[in-house]
Amino acid sequence: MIKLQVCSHCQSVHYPVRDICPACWRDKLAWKSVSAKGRVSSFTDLHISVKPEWADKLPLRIGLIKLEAGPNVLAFMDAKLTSNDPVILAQKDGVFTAKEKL
Amino acid sequence: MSKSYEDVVITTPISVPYVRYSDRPANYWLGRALGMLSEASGLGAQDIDGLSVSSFTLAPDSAATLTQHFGMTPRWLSQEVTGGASGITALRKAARAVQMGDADIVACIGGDTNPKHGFETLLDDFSSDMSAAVLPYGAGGPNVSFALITRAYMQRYGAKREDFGRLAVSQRQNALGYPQALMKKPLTLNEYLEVKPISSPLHLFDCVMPCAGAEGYLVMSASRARTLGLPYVHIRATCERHNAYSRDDVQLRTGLAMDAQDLWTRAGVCSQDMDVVQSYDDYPVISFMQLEDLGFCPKGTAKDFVQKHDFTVAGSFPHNTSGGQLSCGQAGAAGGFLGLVELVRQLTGSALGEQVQDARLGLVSGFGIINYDKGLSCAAAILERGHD
Repeated sequence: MIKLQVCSHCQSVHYPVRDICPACWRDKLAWKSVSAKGRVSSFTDLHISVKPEWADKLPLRIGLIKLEAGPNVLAFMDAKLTSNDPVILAQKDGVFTAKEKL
Repeated sequence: MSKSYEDVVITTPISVPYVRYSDRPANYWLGRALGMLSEASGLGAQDIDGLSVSSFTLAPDSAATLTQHFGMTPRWLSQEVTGGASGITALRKAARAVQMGDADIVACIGGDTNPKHGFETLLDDFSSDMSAAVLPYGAGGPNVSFALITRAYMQRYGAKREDFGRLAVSQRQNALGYPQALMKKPLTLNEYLEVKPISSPLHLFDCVMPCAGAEGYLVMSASRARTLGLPYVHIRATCERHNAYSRDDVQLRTGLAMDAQDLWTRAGVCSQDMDVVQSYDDYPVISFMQLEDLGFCPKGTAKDFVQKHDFTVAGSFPHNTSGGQLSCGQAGAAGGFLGLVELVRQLTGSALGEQVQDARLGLVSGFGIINYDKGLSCAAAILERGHD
């Protein structure tokens, strides 16, 4: 499971962070556990970063993941993963990593 | 349904020549645009009673503080926040202001500065979602978001890098004749394909180069333009849309798809009537989507359309006739004005580069604000060469 904002009024799940529910405009968003399962919609291998601190970590594979819970999230992902692969997300310090779904 | 713009027109397209880097603030670049509008029209602060400003690097200043910087006393003021769509969204507001008498002459200007490392700073301040949900993944910025979109588009519709390359190569051809383009070296398809990757499938020539510069135009009544002896174009129809199709897994269509049919109906013309087209080309895939969503070709077939047509100025589908941002550079918000300003030039027979022969009707579209996974704002305008 991962923690995302869920609206206590309409039950919709949101990411990135919202201050008001985009689905019903109530201020009832709460952090709750939701399914970490998703599927890779697209990916990129990043070769050039705007920030010098990333230079020695490149290239990096970054995926766009459609979560079963609803939202799209960006995630670091293994270089062997590709589009349409089912994945499980891990969450640390607000950053997602997609692993192969076994 | 939106009302027609009656006799409101666009005149005085100006471009402040771009430079790769500048230590001057955005105020300078926007001020130069105003100065060039004045030089080209003969109008001054006493005549221009409306001001519309679009800029990413203007803070902490704003359209309001600029009135003091520029010694103006406008009775109508607007600041556009739609980036790549801002040239057209500025036009929509300015035209209604003139039509309803809230202003007589509106100067619409868009521009930005670009100090060294300026793009890095700009990204840090771009939006909360960019900071929280995109930059933590290697800080690739908009290249990452557009790379994800481009790959998904290629997978869905079978477009190849060669197809995007044909667009980039034809625009470079156009840029060779446009005196203000920063990229003046001919580009071959082979060079396009073999250049270094940035964020796959995007390579260097898929990505616009940040630079400093500004663009501008004036909006006024046709009778005023005639009195002043300024060539002008009519506004046949416009549209804008924000945060369309927000539930799509990946952005494979723009909000233009929601409004295109109504746009053409209001304009009373069809896509085949267009003599020249300017689309927003921060990345080739975005131009492909606009051409499809506006109905120039069915969804997913821009790859065939670009191969079937010649997109150069003298070709069968004159497109981004200044070379577009891919060859001129992207001067921040000026990128949202470049296509509109170039279209007004082409339709008034005053191209700085090669002129599309007998261009009477044209379309410009814009696309802006890649906040997270999708570009949020889009707009389009159909314009017509001035007549009495």
